[in-house]
Amino acid sequence: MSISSYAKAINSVIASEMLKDENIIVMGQDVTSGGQYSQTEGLYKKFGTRRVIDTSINDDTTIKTALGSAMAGLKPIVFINSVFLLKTMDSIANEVAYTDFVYNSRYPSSMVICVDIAPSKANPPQMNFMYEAMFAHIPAIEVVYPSGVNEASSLMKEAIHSDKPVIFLMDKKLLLSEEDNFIAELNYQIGKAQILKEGDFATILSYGFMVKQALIAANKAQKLKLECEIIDLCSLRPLDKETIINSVKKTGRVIIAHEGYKTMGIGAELSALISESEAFDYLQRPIIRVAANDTPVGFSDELYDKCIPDWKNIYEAILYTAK
Amino acid sequence: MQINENTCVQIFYKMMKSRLFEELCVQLKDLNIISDKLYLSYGQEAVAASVCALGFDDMIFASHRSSAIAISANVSAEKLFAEAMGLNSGLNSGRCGLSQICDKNVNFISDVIPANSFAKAVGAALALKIKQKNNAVICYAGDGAAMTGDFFEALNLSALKKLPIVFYIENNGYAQKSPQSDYSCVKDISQIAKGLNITGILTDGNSPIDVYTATLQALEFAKQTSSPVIVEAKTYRLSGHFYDEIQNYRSEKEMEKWLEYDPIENHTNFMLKNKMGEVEDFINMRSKIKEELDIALDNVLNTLSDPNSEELQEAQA
Repeated sequence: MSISSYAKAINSVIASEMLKDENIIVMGQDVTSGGQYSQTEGLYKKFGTRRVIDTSINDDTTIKTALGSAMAGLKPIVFINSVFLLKTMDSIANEVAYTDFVYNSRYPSSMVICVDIAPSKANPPQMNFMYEAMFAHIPAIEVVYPSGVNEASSLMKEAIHSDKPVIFLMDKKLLLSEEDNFIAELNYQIGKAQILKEGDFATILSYGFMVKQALIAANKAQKLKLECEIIDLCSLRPLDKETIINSVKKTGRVIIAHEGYKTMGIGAELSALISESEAFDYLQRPIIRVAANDTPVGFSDELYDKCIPDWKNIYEAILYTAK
Repeated sequence: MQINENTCVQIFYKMMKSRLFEELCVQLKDLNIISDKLYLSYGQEAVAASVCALGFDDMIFASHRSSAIAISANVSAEKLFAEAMGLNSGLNSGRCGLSQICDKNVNFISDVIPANSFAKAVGAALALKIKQKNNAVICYAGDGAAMTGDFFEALNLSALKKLPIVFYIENNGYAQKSPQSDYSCVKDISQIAKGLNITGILTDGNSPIDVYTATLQALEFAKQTSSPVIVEAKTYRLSGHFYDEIQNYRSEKEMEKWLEYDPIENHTNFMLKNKMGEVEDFINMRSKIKEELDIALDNVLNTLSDPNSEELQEAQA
């Protein structure tokens, strides 16, 4: 184990994959100068202007350009700023996701679209991007949302090797934070959730930043002898139905925790998935969603905290479901 | 530039085949045999025949109005008929109809969303450059698509990265029902090239020889200098935006004027004048193409009435 950050881990995976496969290119704003989080630091020096390509802030065009290059035989990794992510909805939903179907698998559309998302303090509302559910809604793409350095490293390798287009969501709050438990050679799979802590009292389903918040809440609850099972979804599309259903059958209680909006969110999908499955008969209590309030996220700490949940809200949910 | 007889015959063949293919599609549509909306290129066949200027392994991107380009690029008429009928034997297994098709054998890719092909074509040109291939990409789009931000962004990126691509604006004067004066501040879209410091070529889209010459020049320039070129071909859509559209937005007089300036007639006259054939030769050629298309169509229709055909079994299931 060693110390690394999400951004550094991603960087080293991309660098080593680029050495192995000369068709891999990196595109996006600032990629030659390393990007906002140094996630592409050093790539330009190693691979030059042919393979590390700066683009302007027209991310919709950048993704369509990347798609065209994929159709002509390259493997692009694109870095997009979350501020522009909604502008890329046309390229992602209409083009990237549909290419395999509409062109009958004759042209590859495999690419990785990396975006720094999630709410973080001291941002204007439009920069707190919490629309991951919109992207997970789109058929024929994969959406991953790693919760830490090991997940980021392993899932990036998987994303690069995937035949499908992958949206790689990177939590802004995690990108630069260093962790001391980094193991480079882990094998997480897209579509496979990780059980981070076993328990038989309640299942907590989470992803991204909220996974560690769920662990804090679960450790507190442990003192009350409430053993929670923590599941890190890792990928939002496809969802690991098997792991989720098996856990719910064991515990009979479910708490879903995410920073995305509650209404029509990932939690709604998870809740429906459980209700439609054989796990429904095992439920002892209603499913609880811990999610962002359905309002824009304000700039001040006070407005931010009113909207975005943390471990305290998860802990309250555990106590509530124990009643 | 001298154009040899063989090329002129090729151009005639492609234009006539496009027209006859679309005429058959219209008949099938009237008989309710095909459900495709039919974004026809009636009157714009010369632009489609510009694919004669393409080199081996050059890539073609096109828009929803692309069946004439597909026919000109030697995509199988039989598979196109089947696609228009939504059959599994269609070019794309009936997934999209004629407005969004691809054929890897001839590097042909069309996209139903106007303007979405621009950046994809730029990406393909980027790949050709990175892979050090001496090829170019040609991207066909309409005048409506040329007024989008997507067009500007694609032009900017391809000029900046010096990519071998020809943006081919098929200016038929209308974006759906709106005349160009309603949505464009420039009359000649090729003028946009000036501001980006790239080459723009304006050509008469109903003169097949002019179209061919301009396309060849543009492709050679794009390949030799590795840079984008805009070609604007002024033409006219004699059909509606789609086949059974209510055409209440233009005068009969206007349409008559363009009917008299028909690209196929223009080309026939040019060839006759230059002694590249007799009237009879053109009549024979037309009959031969018609025969080819009839056979292709019969092959598709036969699968419909064949009791063992997959299509019929599916329909009855």
